[in-house]
Parts: sequence; structure tokens; C-alpha cells
Amino acid sequence: MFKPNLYFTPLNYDELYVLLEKYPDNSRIIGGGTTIYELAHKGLLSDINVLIDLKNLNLINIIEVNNSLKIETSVTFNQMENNSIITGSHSYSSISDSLKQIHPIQVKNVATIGGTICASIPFYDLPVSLVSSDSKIIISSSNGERSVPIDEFFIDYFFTSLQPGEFVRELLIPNLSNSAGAFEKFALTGNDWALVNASVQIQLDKNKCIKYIRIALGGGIGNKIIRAINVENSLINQIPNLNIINKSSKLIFDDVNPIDDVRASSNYRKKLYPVIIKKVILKSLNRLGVNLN
Amino acid sequence: MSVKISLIVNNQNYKLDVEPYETLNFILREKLGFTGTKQGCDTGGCGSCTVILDGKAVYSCMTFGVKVNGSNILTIEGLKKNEILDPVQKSFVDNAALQCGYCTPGFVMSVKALLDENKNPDEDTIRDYLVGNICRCTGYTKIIKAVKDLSKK
Repeated sequence: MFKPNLYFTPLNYDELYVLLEKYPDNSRIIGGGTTIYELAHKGLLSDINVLIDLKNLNLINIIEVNNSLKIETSVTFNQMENNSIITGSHSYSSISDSLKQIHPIQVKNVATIGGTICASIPFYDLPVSLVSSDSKIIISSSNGERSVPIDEFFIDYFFTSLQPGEFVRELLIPNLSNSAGAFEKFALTGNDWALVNASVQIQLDKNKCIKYIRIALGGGIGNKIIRAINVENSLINQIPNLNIINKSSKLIFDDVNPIDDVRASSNYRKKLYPVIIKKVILKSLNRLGVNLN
Repeated sequence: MSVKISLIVNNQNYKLDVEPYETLNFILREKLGFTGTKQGCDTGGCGSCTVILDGKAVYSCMTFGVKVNGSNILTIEGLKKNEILDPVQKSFVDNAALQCGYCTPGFVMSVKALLDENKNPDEDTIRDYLVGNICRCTGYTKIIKAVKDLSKK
């Protein structure tokens, strides 16, 4: 049973590092707390008896730095959804798209960016758009800081590359010029996890040729978010048209082995992936002024 | 090890000792007696535990009590002023927007938060905002109508 008996609110990084080193296995940093209670209700986290709350570190800012957007770990979904830098740039539109499709408001008001990635749950929507945006995760510990590409951060369900004594301090999302992102999800109801979701970032050159493309897939994809590498490779350096996009989207069949669960069969999900990939590519191209619908 | 916290609930100050695992829902219902806030699924799926925390709708069943130390909380009991129902409560009554009533406090608090943010939401906005509250009597049509009536005023 989940019954933590110690709760700390460190006043600075040094106090936090002391706590993380003192309780390497039996502590959890709490963000909004929503994932923790959901897991606790399922009988998990019974080994956790120390909660660490970062509220006094005030990691609540969204700032533009060196052509990237820095989002600190305690920033909530609601804060991001209403941030004018995120809503005002096509470069971050996959992030805006996913936030719009995340429900309910009661979770968005408290859930944090740090919490959603550290949970490492591939059904979540925002991490998929952070993968297509090629985000970097800045991890701090008493030994200094390190930067991890988000692809390498997720290892398995609930399991990330964070080491004992470390915490996620912020994310950096690159602002890629002349690029646009897009995110979509298919779910059974407005308040359910995605059956499948997909996110893309596309950059075109002067001749409307695809110079850069990054596609991320989540939902019932398996143990972690993956890239649709075959689809990306087949579209790079192409001038996009419907025929090429139809053919390329179907290459995903070779890349995925989705899960079977109460919501949908693996085969059904497998059929949904090409459809949703095509949908996000067309949405992103549309934002870049290429309308193929 | 219990932690001392203070809360403002419906404009009243409270000081109390809570355990780190206790939810705001447990504290409101079991320690302070505000049983109008319901306990439902306990996993953020039903919305019956919704309260307004520092102006925002949250699930009290997924909120750590220790984390909200010093916060201002509004529950269903705090809406009525001088024996006069809040306009949201009155619209639910006028539209018969309840059947068994278990989901009603949660719906009312979500609607209150919505109208505080947006005085004239359209139907899509209303439906989108209320996704996190479910009515297992399936009385949605009248609930949406109750909110639309308020939206016109």
C-alpha cells in the first residue's frame, strides 16, 4: 500500500541533492501528483515512503534561450497551453495540438511537464510531441548537469535513464526555422488514453522539398514511444504529394508491433497508424502552406 | 510523520495535522466534514471529487494534502450565500439537471470554474471542459442545457 510517511520541500538544489542521495530508492519527486495516485490505486509504489515536493525551487518558467524554448520542470499543462510563445509559433504547434487534445481540465491544471516525462508512459500525449520536436532533457545532480536527447530518455514502461540522485530540471525544445509540427490522437472517448497517437515536425527548403522530418508514435505502441524511421527516410528530400505520403505512411507496418488490450487489438492499432501518420503529415504541411487535401 | 498545514476552505481558516499520503478529498470529507465533495473512482476518471483550488478546478482525490498547504479551496458547501443558491446551483435545479445527484457537486464546481474563466462558453467549449466529469445516470443533455442557460446571462 502507498503510504509515504515523510514529506520534504527543499529550499535549494543542495538540499534536494542531499535528499535524493539519502533516499535513492524509496523517494519520489511529486509534480501534479495525478500519475502517482493513479499508480498507487493500482497497488503500485508501496515501496515509496518519501515524497519530495519541488515547489520552493520555483521551476515554473517558460523562457526563450538561444533559439530554443526552455520549459522548467514544474510548468503545468495549463500554463503551456496559454503561453503565447508556444501558441504563436508553428515550430511548437505539435505541442499546442497535443495540449488541446489532453483532457480533463482538472488534470491539466496540475500536471507538470517534468511529471509527464518522468512517468514514462507511452500512452501519454505530450511526450510524443516532445519526441517529434527533438527536445533535450536537462538533468541535474550533485555531480553537475547532463543533457539527454529525449529519444534516449525513455527506456521502458515507468523506466527512464534517470540515475539515483538525479532529477529532471528542464526541457529544451529547439525552434526550427521554416518548420511546423502537428499532433493527432485516436481515442475511444474524450477522456481516455490514446489508442494511437502520432506527432511530426517537418521543415521544407525553398523548393518545397522536405529537408527535415521527424515522426514519433505513441499510444498502444508498446513499451516506449518510437520514431517512424522508415517513413521519415522515405520522405526526406522528396517534394511531397498525396501519392508519396500514402505509400510512405504504410511503411510503418514494418516498424511497429502494437499492444493488444481491452481498448483495441494489435491488428486494429496497426491499421490506425498509417492513417494517423498521414493525417499529421498533411496537417503539418498545411501549416507550411502546402495544401494537399 | 504528520505535517502541519493550514487551509482556507470556503473562506474559513483551518489548521490541521495531515499524513503525507492523505488526499485533499480525504481531508475535506473525513477531517473537516465537507462531505458534499464526493469520493468516486479515486483515479481521476469520474470528476465527482472536483473542487476549486486557488481558482482552478482540480480532482481532490489526486491532490496531495501536504502539497496544498496555504491554499484557498472552494467546495460545494461554499457556494450558497445567505441562503441564496449560487446561479450555477439554481440553473441545475431549474433545468432538473440531476437524477441520482452523486455527480452533481463535481459538475457544479467544474461549471463554476468554467464560467469564472469564460462567461459565454459555446456548447463545444462546455462539452470539452466537462469531459472530466461523468454522470452515470447519463443526464448530460439537461446538464449542458443548465450551463447554456447561464452562458446566455
